[in-house]
Amino acid sequence: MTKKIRKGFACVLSLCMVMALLPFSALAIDEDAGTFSDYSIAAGSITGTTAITINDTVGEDDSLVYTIGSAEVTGLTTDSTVSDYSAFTSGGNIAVTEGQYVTVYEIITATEAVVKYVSLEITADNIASDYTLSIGTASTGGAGYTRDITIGGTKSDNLAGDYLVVQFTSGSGTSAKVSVVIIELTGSDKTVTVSYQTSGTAIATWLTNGIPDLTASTLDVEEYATATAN
Amino acid sequence: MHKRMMSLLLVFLLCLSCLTSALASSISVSGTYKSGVVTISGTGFTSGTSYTVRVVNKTDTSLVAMQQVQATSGGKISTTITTGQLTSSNTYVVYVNTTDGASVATDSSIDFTSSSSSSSHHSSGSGSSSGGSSSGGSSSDDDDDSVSVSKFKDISSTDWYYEAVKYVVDAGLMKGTGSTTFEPNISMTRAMFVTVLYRLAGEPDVTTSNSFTDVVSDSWYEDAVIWGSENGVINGIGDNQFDPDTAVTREQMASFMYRYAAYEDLDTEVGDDAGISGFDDSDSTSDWAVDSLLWSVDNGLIKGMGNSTLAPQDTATRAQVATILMRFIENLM
Repeated sequence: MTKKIRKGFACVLSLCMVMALLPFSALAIDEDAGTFSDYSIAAGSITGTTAITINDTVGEDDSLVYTIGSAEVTGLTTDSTVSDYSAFTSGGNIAVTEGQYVTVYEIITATEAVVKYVSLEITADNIASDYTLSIGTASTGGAGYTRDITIGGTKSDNLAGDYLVVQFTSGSGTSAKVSVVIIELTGSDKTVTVSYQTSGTAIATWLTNGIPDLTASTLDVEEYATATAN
Repeated sequence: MHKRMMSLLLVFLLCLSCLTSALASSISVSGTYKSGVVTISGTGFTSGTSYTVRVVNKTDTSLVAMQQVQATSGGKISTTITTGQLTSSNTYVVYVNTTDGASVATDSSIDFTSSSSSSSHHSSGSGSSSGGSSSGGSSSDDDDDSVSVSKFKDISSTDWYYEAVKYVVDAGLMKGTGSTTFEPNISMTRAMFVTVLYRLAGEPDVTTSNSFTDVVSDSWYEDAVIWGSENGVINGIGDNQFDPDTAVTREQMASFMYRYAAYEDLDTEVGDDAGISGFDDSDSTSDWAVDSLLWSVDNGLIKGMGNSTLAPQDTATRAQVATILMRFIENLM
C-alpha cells in the first residue's frame, strides 16, 4: 500500500516537472478572435470598387488591414496572424469582383496577431457600376399607378443623349398586353416617373446610350443597365 | 524546307478557321410559343454574360416584347417572354443581342407546333389568320388545348386557378392525379414538388444513388429526389429521411424554389425593400427559411393569405402550387 502511494506521488511530481518545463504558450488555450460590431459595406465611389466602413474603436497599438480572397475567412484565434495584407482605410475604395471576400482585421501592429476581424462577401450591389437602374414601388396616381425609375452609378451625372426603354406587361398568357416606350434623358435628371393603368403591371427597363432600333437584328446602341419589377 | 513550312502554316490556318467556324456556329437559340408566352432557350453563350432577347413581328416591323437574360455557367440561356396572343409562326423572329447591341443569335421560325392556343381559337375564328387554316386544320390545335385541361373534370375555366393549371399542364410540369382528375384542392407532397422542379430542369440524368432511407427505390419520384439532393435543391429532414409523402409547407416550398433558382443561376438576391415582418405571423417562420421566404415574397411568388398572414407552416394545394410555379417562370426565368 505504502509502495503504491509512493509510486503515485512520484508520477504527480513528474507531471508537474514536465509542465513547468513547457513554455506558457503551449499550455494556454487559444481564444477566438473578436468580431467588429459596427461596420457597413456599400458600393465605392469608383467603378469596380466597394467601400467598407468600420466604426469600432481600434486599440492604441493596433492597425486595420484587409485581404481579398475567394473564400470566407473563419475560425481565427488570437494566436492567428495575417500576412500579405493591405492597409485599410475606413470608407476607402477597394477594387473587387463579385463573389470575392474582403476580410478586414484589427491586428496588433507589432506582432500581426488578430484582435478582431470580419469577412464580407462581395455582391453586385456592393460594387460601384458606371450606371445602375432601380424601379420603385407602385403608387396610385397618373393613369392609375406610377413608379419611379432611378438612375444611379458613377457616370450618371450627365445623362444627355441617353435613353430609357420601358416595357409594360399587364395580364398573363394570351390575354397579356405588352407596350414599350422610349424616353430621352436630359442632363442630370436621374429619376423618371412612369404611369400605367393596370395594377400588377410588370415593368422592365433598359438604359441605353442612344435610341435603339428595337426591330432590327442589331440594336445600334450600348445597354448600360437594366432592371425589372413585378 | 521553306515550302514545307508554308504548307504547315496553311494547314494551321485552315484548322484555326475550322475551329473558329465551329465555335461560332455553336451558338444557337430557339423560341417556342404557347399560350401567350414564348419560351426561349439557347446554348453556346458566354457564361455569366447578360443578353437582350427580343421577339419582333416581321410583318409590321414592330417589337412584340423583350427581356434581359443572363447565361448560366454552362453557357445556356433560358427564359420566358410574355407576348400575349401571337398569330402565326412565320411572322415572328427572335433576336439575341449582347449589351453592346451586336446580334449573336436569331431564330426566324418560332415553334408553334406545340402551341395550345391557335389564332382561330382566340381571334375571330373565321380562318382569316395568315396560317389560312381551315376549320379542320385549326381544330388540331384546339384539340390539343382541350386535351390539356378539359380532360380534368375537376377543373373549370371559371376557377381562379384555371390559367395557372393550364399553364403548368401545358408546360408538362404538372400532370393529373388520375386520367380525368387534377385534384386542385389536395395538398402537394414534398415528393410531388421536387418532381415538378425536376421536370422544370428538363429531367437531367442523375449520377449518384439515393441516400434517403425513406425514398422508395425505383419510385416515380426517386430520380427527382436524387437530382434535387445532388444539386442542393432539397435537403432532408434529418436522420437520412426526406419525408416524401408529407405535404410540403409554404416555407419548404419557398426554400426549394430559392435553391432551384440558385441552381439555374437566376436572381437570388433578397432585395432591401423585401420584408415579411409586416405579416402578423412572420415569427412562425423557421430560421432557415427566412431568406427563402423574403426572396419569394419579394419576387411575387408567395403572397399573403389576405388576412395579414403568410402562413409559412401551412401546406399548399396543387392549385396554389400551379399558381406559384407560373409566377416563378414568368417572373424569374
